Order: sequence, then structure tokens, then C-alpha cells
Amino acid sequence: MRRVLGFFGGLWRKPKLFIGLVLLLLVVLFGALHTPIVHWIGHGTDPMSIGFGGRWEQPSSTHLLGTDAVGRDVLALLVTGLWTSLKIGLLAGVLSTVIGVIVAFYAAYRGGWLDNVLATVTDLFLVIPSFPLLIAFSGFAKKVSLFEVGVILAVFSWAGAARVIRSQVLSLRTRPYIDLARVTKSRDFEIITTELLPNMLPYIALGLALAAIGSIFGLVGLELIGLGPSGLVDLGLLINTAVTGGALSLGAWPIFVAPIGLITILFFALNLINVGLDEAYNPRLRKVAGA
Amino acid sequence: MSDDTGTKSDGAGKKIELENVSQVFPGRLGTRIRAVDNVSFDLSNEPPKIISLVGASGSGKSTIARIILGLQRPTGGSVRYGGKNIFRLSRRERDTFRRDVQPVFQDPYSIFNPFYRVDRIFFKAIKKFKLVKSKTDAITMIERSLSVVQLTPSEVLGRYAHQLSGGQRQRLMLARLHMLQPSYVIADEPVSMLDAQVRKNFLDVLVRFNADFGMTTLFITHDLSTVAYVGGEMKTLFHGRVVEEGPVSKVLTEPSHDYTRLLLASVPEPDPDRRWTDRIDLVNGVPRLVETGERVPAPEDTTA
Amino acid sequence: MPEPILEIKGLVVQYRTTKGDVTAVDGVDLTVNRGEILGVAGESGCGKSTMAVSILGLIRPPGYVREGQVIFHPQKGAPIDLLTCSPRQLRAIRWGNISYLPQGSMNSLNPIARVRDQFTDVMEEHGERGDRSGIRDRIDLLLGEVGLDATVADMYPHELSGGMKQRVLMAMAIALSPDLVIADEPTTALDVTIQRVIVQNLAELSRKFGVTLLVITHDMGVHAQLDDRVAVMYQGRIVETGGVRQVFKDPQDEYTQRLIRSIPTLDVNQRAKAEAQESAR
Repeated sequence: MRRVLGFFGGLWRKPKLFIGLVLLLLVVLFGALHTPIVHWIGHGTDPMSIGFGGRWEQPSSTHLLGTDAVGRDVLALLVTGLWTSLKIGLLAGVLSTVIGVIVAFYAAYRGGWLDNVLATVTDLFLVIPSFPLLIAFSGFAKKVSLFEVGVILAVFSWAGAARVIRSQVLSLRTRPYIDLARVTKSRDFEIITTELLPNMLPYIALGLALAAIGSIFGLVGLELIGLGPSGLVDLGLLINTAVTGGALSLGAWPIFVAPIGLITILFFALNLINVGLDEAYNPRLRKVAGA
Repeated sequence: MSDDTGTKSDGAGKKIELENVSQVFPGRLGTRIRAVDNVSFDLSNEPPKIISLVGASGSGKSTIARIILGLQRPTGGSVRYGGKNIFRLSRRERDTFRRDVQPVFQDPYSIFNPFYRVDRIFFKAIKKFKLVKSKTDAITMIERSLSVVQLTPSEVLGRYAHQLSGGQRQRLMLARLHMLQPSYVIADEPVSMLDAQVRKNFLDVLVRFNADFGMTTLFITHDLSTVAYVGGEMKTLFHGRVVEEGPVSKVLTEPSHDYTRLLLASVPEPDPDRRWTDRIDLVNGVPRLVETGERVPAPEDTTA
Repeated sequence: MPEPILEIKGLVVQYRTTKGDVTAVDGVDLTVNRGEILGVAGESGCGKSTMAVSILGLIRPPGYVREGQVIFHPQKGAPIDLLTCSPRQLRAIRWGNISYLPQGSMNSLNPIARVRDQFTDVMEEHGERGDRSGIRDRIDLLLGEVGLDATVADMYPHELSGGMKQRVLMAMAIALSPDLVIADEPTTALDVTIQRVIVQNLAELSRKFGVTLLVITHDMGVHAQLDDRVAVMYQGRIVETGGVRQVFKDPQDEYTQRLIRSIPTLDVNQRAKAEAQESAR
């Protein structure tokens, strides 16, 4: 536990990780404050109702980011959409990481035929082109909840996490400290949870970040081509609205630029975290050569 | 001295017997590699002994260590502890076996989980083997074991492995042995990563444990000079088989098997006046000792 | 009169760490004479490997050369400071004039190329002209010099044992007839019998081809068998340099004395003797 606290204490010396986490925190904070922000914009009425403002209004003091084709406030749409995207990312990310971790640990630690089967299944899910499948899937499921979207996205993104973690477990399980634990009467489950898992935390965090960003992008991609699940307002839907409504030619740039900007910041933040974790925990990048 | 520790393992008197132990690994392209080939020998604790197992890399010596420790199931033959196959022990028997047969591994760094402080190996052993009940007793016990191997508790406890020197880390393993007082120590290349001076200290402690606490030690190494240092008995392993065995003082002075002779001839003598007069040639990859009679002398000192 | 081939002067090498710079090589002066075998001895962490990589400008961050000179005297032409010359010059000197056998060099072969192709690359890159068959013959000859069969040339590294790979690299190191070969722990991680073969091979390189050798190893036995002179390194400094017999029989420095005393031997009574000495005190 003290080690975990030490990790946060040492953040100052890992600028990439630090900046990434701060950026992510700011974006999440922005999304988390969507209710008060929407309330503040609407002053009692719903700023996302049709006809709240004029059509395609330019940014002004009442509509900081202007309005869309039916007069909805873009800033309100943006924070709401961001929050949805983040929730999807977290949900799908956590789900796929949990699946990935369980599959990977079980396969790699026990080894044998089970590992072969699970590794094959993992590889199979890795090579399945998930995007066309998602497109086909969304054709059938028009009315789905946020949770269902998360599950569907997770099904297609756990394999990546599983593969990264499996290879790590494979290399860790032959470490002498695992042998020492075994001759000290530790059981398999105990070895997995107390010896292996703590050392895997950075990789699990990495997997989570990658799966989250993959899921967010997946949904954005679907929304962008107009195949997103209806009833969900996420960042992709905003871009889609902008593109289909010809917002740019009408001078309503914020509805296009703002979601893309947010996605870029999110991507940048998660990638900085990714690289930062790698630098901090990948022994090949950390070790000092020579004697 | 062993009385006041009062934690001696209760496996006393039980023998370890290897019978026709073989280990085959799948090799490249469907081939099968015989790492251990029909090895049989006994380890007895009455009286306690030091037995060195000597061989080149790939001779199967580390595999034998893992098999005796129950970390790997042999593909043929059996290992018995107190007369019973170690993979078919009852729960209580296994508890005794685990406590009674303990390892020292080669790399003193990676026996410590980098996530935890080094103290954990002691607390874990105390808890798992129910050595003492209270935390204060545990700390007293750890500190006593540390002082036996000349470690200052305040200098090592609460640290992570990477903050300690190689010698300190390996002595922590010795302290763990002292605490557990097993009848058998399986030491797999324990000094190959240590410098000469630190190496001697380590070996001295191991020999002392053998004498003071009756730990029978299986000392696995490729280095004949450490075998000469610890003494006792030795077995030469060659291609997974024991090809020669006997007291170290005899085998090293009058080796009977060609391979032992070759190993002895390979050790570079640290004396410039006694340079090699023979040479080792590789004939199709197989080393062979050839007498040439010529010696390339060390140059006369040119005092500049 | 010994003629210097390499002069290390006031070499200081440091590693940057988060807690300030750590000095690994602390003002080393060392001269290697043409034609000799000079050994550098010392325990792990004394800075001998760092010194070796620094000589050829191969030190990687966070390590860096703080100050000093490494002057190479080619057979013909003016002396060159390896630490200040251009990267192009340095590349030309490496392999051609000075070869380096890195620590754990068995792992430095390209795993996906046959031994012969790797030889050819090195030779052609350094302007070894001539027809392919000439190079072919030369490769077979070189492999023969280190006791390897010519068929090894057509193998991939994974088909070779550690000792064979080490000898392939030795053959490569002398492919361009360098003046100086720097070998860093050439015997470490090899089986004892193979270690001895490597030591024999190194001695032959020196005797047959007149190659100057700088051999860095912690193994005092190797130094006793191979070296003409020995330099002992401790905590980043050279504490003693002398003829091999003098260093082993009559060490002057207090650390060298300790190092010589702690050399493991095959004497089966050494521990008993040491204990007797201890109790006599």
C-alpha cells in the first residue's frame, strides 16, 4: 500500500505521466460537471431542447459555443456528450480489462492445453475486424442502452489487454520469487493475487487506458457514419451532426472543432499516461547499462 | 546452540531418495531433450553432509534442484521424502516437507518480489510455517537470524531488494534458512553472481549451518573451486547422468572419470608460473584434453 | 622500448541519476603497448566495463564521458583522440583498427542472418575489396583460426552454442586485421571448458597475428594464464599496474593484496588452512 502512495509521490519525477494524468483529470472534471453546467446554461429550461436558441447561432455570451441546426446549445451538448463518451470508455474499458485479466492470468499461470485454447481464442478476437462487425451489429440493435453498448464494445476489445497481460504473466511466473512463494506453501490463487498481480498493476492500468480509448473511438466512429445507437448523445454524434448539417459552411465551427478538440486532448492524455507508464515500469527503458 | 532457537523442523531423520529420475523436455522440431537421465541418489541427514553436484550448463543440475524442491514433476522416476513420493504427500506430510527442504537460488535479486520490502520473506515464512504467534516474537526471531548472518537489522529491514548489495541479499536468504532450520538445503549456484570475497563469506556461513544446525546441503555448482572450498562429497554430472562420485578431497586430486579431469583442467590456475602445458581442443564440438608439453611462460618482469 | 598503441589519460566517466551524477570511472590513466596482452582486473562494479565502452565512444546515456583523452596510435599516421574525433573517423577505426568484443557478446549477432553474411557485411563495409570467393575463403580461414569448422559459416546464430558464438565473434573481430582487440569479460557465462578454449584462442591471436589485446575480466585465473601485464581497478581507479608475475607474487597495493588473497583455488584444504590461520591470530 505504501508502495502505491509512493507511486503518487514520485509522480513529479515522471513529467509525461504527470501531465497526462492532470489532463485526463481536467477532461473528466469537465464531463463530471455536466449537470451544473447544463443547468447554468439553461437557467431552468433544458438547453438541449429543440428551439432553445436560434439556428446556427455564433458563439456569444448566452451560447458560448453557439447553437446547432435546431437551436440546441452546443456547450450543453458537448459536456453531456463528453460524459457519455467517458462513461462508455470507463465501462467498456473496465469490462474488457477484467475479462482480459482473468483470461490472461488463468491461461498463463496454469499453462498447458488451457493456455493453448485461451491463447487461440484471444488471437481470434484480435484478428476479427471489430469495426465492420460493430457496424453490422448496430444495424440490428437500434435501441440499446449505454450499458449494452459498453458490453458490446468490451467484447471486441478485451483481447488486446489479455494478450499484453498474458505475455507479462508468462515472463513473471518463472521468476525465482514465485518459486520461493511456492516453497513457502503459497497456493496458486495467493501467488496470482499477491505476487503477480501487484507487479502487473502498471500493465493493467495500461490495458485499461488503451481499452477505454479504443472504446471511445469505436463509438465515435459508429456515430460519425450515422450508425450509433439512438438515444445516446456522445462526442461522435456531435461531429456527425456537424458534418451532416454542413455546419462548417454555415460558419458554426464550434460544434465541429470542440468535440474533436476534446477527443484529441483525451487521446493525448491517455497516450502520455501510456508512454509514461511504459517509461516508469518497462525495465528495458529504465535500466542503466554498464557497470 | 540449536536448543535456544527452538524452531527446528520436525522432519528430522527423513531421507530424500531419488530413484531413476529423468526429465525430458520437448526440444526444437519435435526432438526430445533429456535434461536428466536416470539419476538416483540419496540425501540423508544422519549425519549431516555437504554434497556438491558439479556439471556444466545443460548438464541437468538445476532441473534436479527443481525436482527435489517439488517445483517440477519429473517425467520419469520418483523422489521420495521419508519413503513417500513427494508429489503424493498428505497435507501434513507436505507441510513438513516444505519446511524441511528449502532452497537458496542463484540470483539473489529476483528472489525478492520487487513490489514488497525484503522483510516480507521472513514474515511470510513465519506465518506460513506458524513459527511464532505474535508480531513482537516474529521481529525478535527475525533480528536474531539476521545477526547470525552478520546483518544489522536496521540496515536491511524496511528496504527494497534493489537498495541492498548482492552480498546482503544473499545473506538475507541465509537468515531465512537459519529461521526455518530445514534438514535439507538445496542451493542452486548460490554464489555464481557474487565477487570472490563475498563468495567466501557466504560459503563459510553455509558450512557453519551444516556443522551447527545439521543442515544437509546439496550444493549445485559449475565451479570446482567452490567445491574445493566447501569440501564434503561431490558428484559429477555429465549429460544428465552422474558419472563420478566420492569425497571431494579424493575426486579433485585423483579424478577417475575423463569428464571430471577435463573440468579440473579447465580451471585457470591463478599463478602465472603455472601456466597450462596442455590444451583443450574441440573435436566436433566435444572438448578433449591434448598434451602438448609446451608452456607459454609469463614474460619476465621488465621493471620500467 | 615499448611503443604505446592506446593511451588513456585522465578518463572520467559518470552516470546521470536522479540523485546527482555517479562517477564510474574516476580519472584513469592507462597505456596499452603494441603487441602486449594487458589485462584489467577488478570486482563487479569497479568501472572496468564502463571504461571499455567509453574508450570506443560507445557509452550510452545516462552515462557520459566527463573528461579525459583516449589517444590511439595507428601503425601509420598521426595519433587520434577517439573521444573527440568525428563519428565517421570512429567508425572507420572500429573493426579496422580496433575491434571490440562486448560483454555477453554472444547475443550481439544478428539472429536472422547467416554467419557468412554477417562476416561479409563487416568486411565489405570496411572496404575489404575483392571478389566474393576471396572473401569466402578468408571467412573459412578465420573460422579455422578460432577452431571452428567452415560449415559454421552457413549456420544461423540460434544453431550455435554460446561458446561457438563467442568464437565466431572473435573471428569477426580479427577479420580486418585490427591492431587492437578489446575483449570485455570474454569468458563470462560460458562453461568452464569453453572458457579455457576461449582463453587459448585469445593467446593464439596475440601470438600468431601480433594483435594487441586488452582483456577485461574479473577472473584472476584468466589473467594469470593469459596476460603480460595486469592493471587492477578499484572504485573507478587503477590502483596498480605491473607485470603479471609482479602483481600476483608481489602485489604492492593494499586492495590488490586483498584481491589476490581472495582468489578461489582448487586446494581442498584451503578452508581448514584459513581457519587455522584465523585461530592462530
